[in-house]
Amino acid sequence: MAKSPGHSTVEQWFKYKNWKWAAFQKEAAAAYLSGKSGLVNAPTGSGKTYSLWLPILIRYINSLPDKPTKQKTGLQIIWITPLRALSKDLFRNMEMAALEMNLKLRIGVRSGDTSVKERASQKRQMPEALLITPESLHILFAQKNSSEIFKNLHTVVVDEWHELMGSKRGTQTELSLARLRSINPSLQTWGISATIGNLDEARKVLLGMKGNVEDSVIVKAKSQKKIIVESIIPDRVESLPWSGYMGTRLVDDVVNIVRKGKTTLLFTNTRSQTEIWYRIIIDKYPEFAGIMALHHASLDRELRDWVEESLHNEKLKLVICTASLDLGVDFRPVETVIQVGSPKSISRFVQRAGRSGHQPGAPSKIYFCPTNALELIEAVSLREGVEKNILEDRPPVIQAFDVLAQWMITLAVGEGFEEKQLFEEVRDAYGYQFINRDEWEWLLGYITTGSPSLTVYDEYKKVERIEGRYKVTSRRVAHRHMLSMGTIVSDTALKVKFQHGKYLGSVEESFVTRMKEGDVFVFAGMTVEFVRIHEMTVTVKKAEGKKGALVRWAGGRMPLSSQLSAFIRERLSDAIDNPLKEKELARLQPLLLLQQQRSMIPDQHELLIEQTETREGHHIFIFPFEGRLVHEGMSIILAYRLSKIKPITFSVAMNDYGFELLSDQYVDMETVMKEVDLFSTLHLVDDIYQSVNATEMAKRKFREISAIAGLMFQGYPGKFVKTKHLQASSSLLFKVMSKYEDNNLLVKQAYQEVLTYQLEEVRMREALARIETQKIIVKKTNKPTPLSFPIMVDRLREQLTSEKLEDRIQKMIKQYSDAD
Amino acid sequence: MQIEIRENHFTLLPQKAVFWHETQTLLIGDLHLGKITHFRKEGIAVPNIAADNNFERLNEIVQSTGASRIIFLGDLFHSKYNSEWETFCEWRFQHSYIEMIIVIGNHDVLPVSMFLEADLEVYMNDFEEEEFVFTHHPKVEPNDSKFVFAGHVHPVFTTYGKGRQSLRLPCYVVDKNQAILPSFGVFTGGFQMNLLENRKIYITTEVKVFSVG
Repeated sequence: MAKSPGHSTVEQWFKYKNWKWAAFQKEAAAAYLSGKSGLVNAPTGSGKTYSLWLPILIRYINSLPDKPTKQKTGLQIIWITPLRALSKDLFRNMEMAALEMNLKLRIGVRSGDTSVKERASQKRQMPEALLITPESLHILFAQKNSSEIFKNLHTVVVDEWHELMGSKRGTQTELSLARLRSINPSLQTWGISATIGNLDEARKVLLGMKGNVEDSVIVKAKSQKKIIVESIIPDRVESLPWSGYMGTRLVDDVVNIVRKGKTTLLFTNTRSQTEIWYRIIIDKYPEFAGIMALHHASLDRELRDWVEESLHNEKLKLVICTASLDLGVDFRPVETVIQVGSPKSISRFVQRAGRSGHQPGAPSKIYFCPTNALELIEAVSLREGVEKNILEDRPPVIQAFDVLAQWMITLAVGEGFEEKQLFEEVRDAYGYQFINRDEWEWLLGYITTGSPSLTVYDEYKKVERIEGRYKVTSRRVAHRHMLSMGTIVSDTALKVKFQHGKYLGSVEESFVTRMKEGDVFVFAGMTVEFVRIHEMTVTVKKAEGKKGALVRWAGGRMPLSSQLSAFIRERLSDAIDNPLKEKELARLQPLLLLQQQRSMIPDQHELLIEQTETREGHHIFIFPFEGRLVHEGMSIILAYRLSKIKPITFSVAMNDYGFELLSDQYVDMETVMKEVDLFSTLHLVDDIYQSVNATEMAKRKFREISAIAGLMFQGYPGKFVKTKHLQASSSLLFKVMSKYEDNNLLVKQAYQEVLTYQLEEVRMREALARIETQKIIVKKTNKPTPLSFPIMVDRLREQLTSEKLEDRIQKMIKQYSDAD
Repeated sequence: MQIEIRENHFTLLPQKAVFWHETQTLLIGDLHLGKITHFRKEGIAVPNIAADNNFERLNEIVQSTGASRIIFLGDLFHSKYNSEWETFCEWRFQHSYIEMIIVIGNHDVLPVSMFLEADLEVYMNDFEEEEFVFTHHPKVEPNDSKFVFAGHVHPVFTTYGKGRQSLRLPCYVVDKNQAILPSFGVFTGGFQMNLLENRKIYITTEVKVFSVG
């Protein structure tokens, strides 16, 4: 490298720190300084921040005039980060480096937490570098002088791009990037991403449709750590339940592992699970009091900060956490990671494993604690996935009209826009490459007059067209829009606090509304008693010694990824032929034998269907092993196709291995399949749309869409609008729009989201195609089998019906008249 | 579904209202007009088309029964004054030949004068006639002397069937001395009712009424 003043300064700094350039840092720096854009693929804790921050500093130093001048350069660098919490640590590291090099570069932070004073001072004069969340960046575009702010911007870095890309926040970022590139065509765009299956696509999304991919780079950090996966296996398979997802029966084994290491992170899949594990360990091993902590997204920020700080300072032996600790800075003291229950995806598992083993050369070790017997198969499959280095894709969001509508209003609140120019610009964003003129005009109509069925109401007339520019002139509209920007729509959350005022965190409204005075529940590791609920706050007091219900949080169960499902089908098939190859499967042997005895274990060329009758009715179990979302879709299709033969009602349940259709009527599957191709991909989407459930699902999706698109104002901060009311009104909107408008893009989007995300249409087609090549085997069983039992006991059920409501009632009320 | 109470004849309409044959009277509980417009003012956008539906349904039952009188069992208007009240008044004067009575419910916060201006006869608590009492809140212990018609609770009933099926529907609850009507106008929620001795429950699907127990 040529020794520019910048290079020399940084070299000196390296000497002073006693550090060395890592190969990938050097490569990224060279690419950046030669003016390229690109993507850095490196894990947390590898020095990925420096790989871009140092060359940015070099460029800054080299651009300094020989004599100091008064001239302000304004904002030059934007660093986008998905979490507010991350920006704090990033800020610390970035500012430290600049200070140690004696630079006068100013770095600012901008997020929802930034104080009004700080905002005002930023408005007067922007720092040279700004750390910002995607939402706050959009807010800058709602200012009247936004192109002035970004005039001198030369670099944007998007941190944790893999995390943002698959969500609407990613789409939001794509729109910002497209705009920034149109303000400044020579802008350099960089991303930092963990390893995902579709890195090339990630780069394309980042650079936009007009971006020159050939002239960009993907820099990969070589030092991929070795990951060791070890299962916690009970002595006897009988000590694991057939179904269940808590895993607390293995608490002694878990505590033994925790004792051996310095600090352990115990990952669970849900927030309730963390609370349960915390209680069980404290009850059984009271000596953990004070050295064990909880960390999940519903806990108060201050509490979480304290946990994170204590992790850094080696004060904690064990932290029980959820995905809330998946991201973010490294905790050096962590030596051990335990995963309770299937993580459902290999990538997530690898990312969590990477939380341990920071000594150079040390492997990362992760223990897998199964919560039910069948998860032993998942343990083997996970290990195989890790060994083969298979990682899931993060598909970017496409055609999110709600986000685009919000963006158009944001720009109209700011400087306003000229529609032809904006149309071209938006098509530069990967997520909107397919948008056409018709759709665009619909959106323009939507922001100016509301959608066709709303045109008579003034409150939907948000944007005006003034001399060819689209602008918002009403202060009220602007104010409301600013309050409701963003793409994260959650259940109304209520704050939980003690009577003396200390905040504990937040719970979903649906949980609290059922509570009455004196009810006891477990929260933040404490047993508390419900005192009262007022406005947005739930007051509680300590209730030690009493038994409490567990706080249940909304939040879906993650589906098994298709990569992992493929391994599971393979493992299961192999378990018949090579029962002793893996110790997990060897332990599972008694259960597999029972499955074989009562029914069978399907190999990869077979699809198993079990039929059985119980007091509850006639059960049909089908096992495609494709993850619960695909099963949900398939159950809708199958129930619909079966119900076309004769009027029938099913109640449906599913897990990651299969699904159940339960009815009061018997269906002879063997005969039916001779006449009807139940698993055909023909008319797939039509058949889904025909079923009532698809409409219900779309209606639920519509709530988020209508909030993002600004159809529904969620209320002023601190003002309590009941979720029930929001839900009711969004479903009314949905009904009216589907009834009176043929071409409502937001309604269409709701159905599309159901197909893409709720039912995983693409994957379902692949699964159905695979089934068409499989041999279908129907087994009539007398007793529930190890595979069917966990589904049979699931209480969460949807109903699918083709019977007339009146006929169903007639059948049901017979029991009452019989009693007479 | 026709039932007989104290030698009078009542039809429980599928549209969630009761027709009293002897006096040609419609009984309507918990219409909650104005709720949608109220939501809109709170910033929750709901198109008014949904509200129109209530008036359509009202017209339907007025025509099919040929009623000459309507008794509203409270919670006619959900909110403070808003434009939907004007829609109601318009509807009311289109039906000026029908006598209308309201028993005030807890949600009826409009000044009484407005009801009077709309040519409604107003009762603050109970309206009594012959053997019957019409009121908003159900009586805790209705006695033998008079039979009570009430609203307020928005009763619903869940039936269960084989194959883990269940259905939750609005219902009429008829006890020995009291009947509770389902809400005519509310689109969500409801209070779960149970079968008791001396209680009849009638569920309605908007198309047909079924007797349970």
